[in-house]
Amino acid sequence: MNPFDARPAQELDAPPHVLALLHAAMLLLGLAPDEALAVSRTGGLVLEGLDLGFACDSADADGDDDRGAALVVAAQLPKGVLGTLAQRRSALLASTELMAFVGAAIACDRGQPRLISRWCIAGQSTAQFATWLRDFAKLGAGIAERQRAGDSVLAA
Amino acid sequence: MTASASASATPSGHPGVHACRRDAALVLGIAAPVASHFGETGVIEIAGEPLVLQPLHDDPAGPWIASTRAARPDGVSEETWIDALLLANNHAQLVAHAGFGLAPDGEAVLVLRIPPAHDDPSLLAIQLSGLLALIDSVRDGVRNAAATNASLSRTLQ
Repeated sequence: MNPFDARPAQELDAPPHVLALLHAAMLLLGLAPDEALAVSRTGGLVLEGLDLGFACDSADADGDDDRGAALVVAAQLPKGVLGTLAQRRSALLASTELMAFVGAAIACDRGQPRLISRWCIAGQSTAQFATWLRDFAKLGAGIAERQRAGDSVLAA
Repeated sequence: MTASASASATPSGHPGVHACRRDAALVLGIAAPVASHFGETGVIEIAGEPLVLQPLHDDPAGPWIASTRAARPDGVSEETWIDALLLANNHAQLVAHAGFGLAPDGEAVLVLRIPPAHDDPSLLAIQLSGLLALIDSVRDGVRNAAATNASLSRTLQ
């Protein structure tokens, strides 16, 4: 065994309490202990068949410490979801509603569509985060499924 | 704080909500009568840009939801506009709980969800000013890129 593998690098840049929250939520979602640790280390997870990635916003742009950190989560969607201009228009029309009702939006960077949302950690429990994350992944899977069925990204 | 009879007659009737919105507008340098109207209605226009601010639970402590809109700049195709907004959505949530969408008329809509504990008017004002700055930067970036492309095309002809 390569000795350099003994302590894998911490890839997700986040304060300890955020990493602990992520780890605990993974256990609640039914991941094995070593898988849960891997998620809090890499910031990557497969849920509802989608690749999810986490980033932590612990920066304190407002200069107010009590706002606390937030976890930003992005679910990779199939590339075909935003293949045409009509699909991209429909995704943005849907994003207005998604932002208003669930705080998520559809994004695209260099041809890779994503569903992105943000979880403010302060005042919320691990169980609430885990439930929210599962619902978020289901929403992303639903959008991907609609695309496979030939429908627009979301029903108008 | 004083509560007026009219304050409780509106859907967002919490007098604290009205005061918080009004005071946030005052922090942004809005004239008192306009700030007062914003306090009551949650709708204002700042430098020609519409801004809507509503509490999600009729509670000045938040959470709040704010939104603004921007028209597609002249000389920018619909495809360029849509792609710019989809690109901006990769970054918006990293700085705030904000995301771009589209209105049926083709205008960009920027929605910002403001978490609880934003009942301090100056904190609310910071969030609103960030919202306006974000939509300005995306619209100006798209407009400038289009102008540069047009200028390059003329040069190359």
